[in-house]
Amino acid sequence: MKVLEASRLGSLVESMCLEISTTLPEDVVLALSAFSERESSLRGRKVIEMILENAVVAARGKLPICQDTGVFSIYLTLGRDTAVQGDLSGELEKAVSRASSEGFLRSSIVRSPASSRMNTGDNTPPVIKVGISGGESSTVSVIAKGGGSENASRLSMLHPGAGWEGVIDFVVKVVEDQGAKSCPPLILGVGVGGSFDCAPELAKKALLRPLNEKNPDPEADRMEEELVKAVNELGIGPGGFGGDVTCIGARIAQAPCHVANLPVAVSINCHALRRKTVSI
Amino acid sequence: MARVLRLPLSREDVQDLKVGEEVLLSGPALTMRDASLKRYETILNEGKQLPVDLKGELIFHAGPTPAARGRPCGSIGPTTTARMDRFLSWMLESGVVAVLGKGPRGTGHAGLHGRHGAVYFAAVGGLGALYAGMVEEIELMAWEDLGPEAIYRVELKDFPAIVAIDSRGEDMYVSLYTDYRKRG
Repeated sequence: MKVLEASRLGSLVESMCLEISTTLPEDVVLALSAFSERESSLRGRKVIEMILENAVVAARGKLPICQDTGVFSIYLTLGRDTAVQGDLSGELEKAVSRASSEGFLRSSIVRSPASSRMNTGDNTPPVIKVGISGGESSTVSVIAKGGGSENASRLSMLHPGAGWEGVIDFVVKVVEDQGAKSCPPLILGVGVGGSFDCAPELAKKALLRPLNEKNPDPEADRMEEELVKAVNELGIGPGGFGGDVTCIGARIAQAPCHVANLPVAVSINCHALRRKTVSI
Repeated sequence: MARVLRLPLSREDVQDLKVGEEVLLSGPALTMRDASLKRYETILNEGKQLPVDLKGELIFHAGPTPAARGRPCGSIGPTTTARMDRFLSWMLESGVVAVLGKGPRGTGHAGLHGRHGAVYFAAVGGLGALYAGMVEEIELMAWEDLGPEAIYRVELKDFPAIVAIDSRGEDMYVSLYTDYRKRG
């Protein structure tokens, strides 16, 4: 039996929160640079240049990439024969609180959401999901997502016959309606299948897979390319000022679902895709 | 070449700005967003004492991060303006001359700008670290309990933006995507 100490997981998560808040991942930088070449709008290219410059300024000065330092979601996936010792939820909450004060992160979480909306003052509580896998190792992932792009995300329960065409139409329509205000160029996490509650989680977790890593399912891999192409035909462009680059990547994750269902969720992420996964 | 604008602006100053025009904003602005606008609206409706007068102001829809040691301002940048549409009417009636935010407004709101001769400047979202260097000072004006959503006085320095809605109510976003759109 492998035993993971909750306090050590907390320290790890704390450093991950700090790192992702100020450092744009290498794969995102590379994708932005590559897509910049395809942008015919001068203003669009200028926006991508500013995004890349912002990443440099943020990393150099240890400043948050975006003032919306987001809501932290922590995904712990336990491998076989693995246990956690200690107060996992408490340690992870403390980790986020410490990172928020050390990193001068914005307090963006409020309690009593439909009434007082009192700011919790330290970005707690984070979203914590503990999963299991049959693998040897365990992983922890942290993603920080801003409120604007979270507002733009959607779920639809399609008819089973809608197929990939229905999935793509749905996602493209969401981006058409919401894309300009969710800080494009976007990265789209798409969850296909599962259940009403499972599809959005698949979508968000799909964003964890690096942009330079192919989808292991060749069909889904093709659909990712098709989706990027279709979304980039919308003309929304970088910063929403018009252009060819509305999206720099789509990541699809699938799960089996009920015979009567085809759930599809799209987790829209702004260009500041802040996430990291570590194997333990 | 971007037009350099010195804040505060009067409605005369913004009269000849045209949609799509690039500007650089320098001078004092007030940050207000969801929570502070809602509280301001409540107090306004109750006819009670307001902490700041909005007449002649540029309202920056933003919520900064706390400033780290030795820095005037933390990361700061525009949030989604469309969420503030619901407050626009009384903001403009209170004398707001310009709004700085990001993204398109909802249908019908450009007309409100036109009726009051006020402009909407759009900036790029997600550039908080870069924009931090364009804010020389920040001072809490009201409602510290709202944290990042409190009202702050910020001193902008060459802050780049685009005229998204001009004082005649022309909206840049209405036909912005047609040139690049390849879908039916």
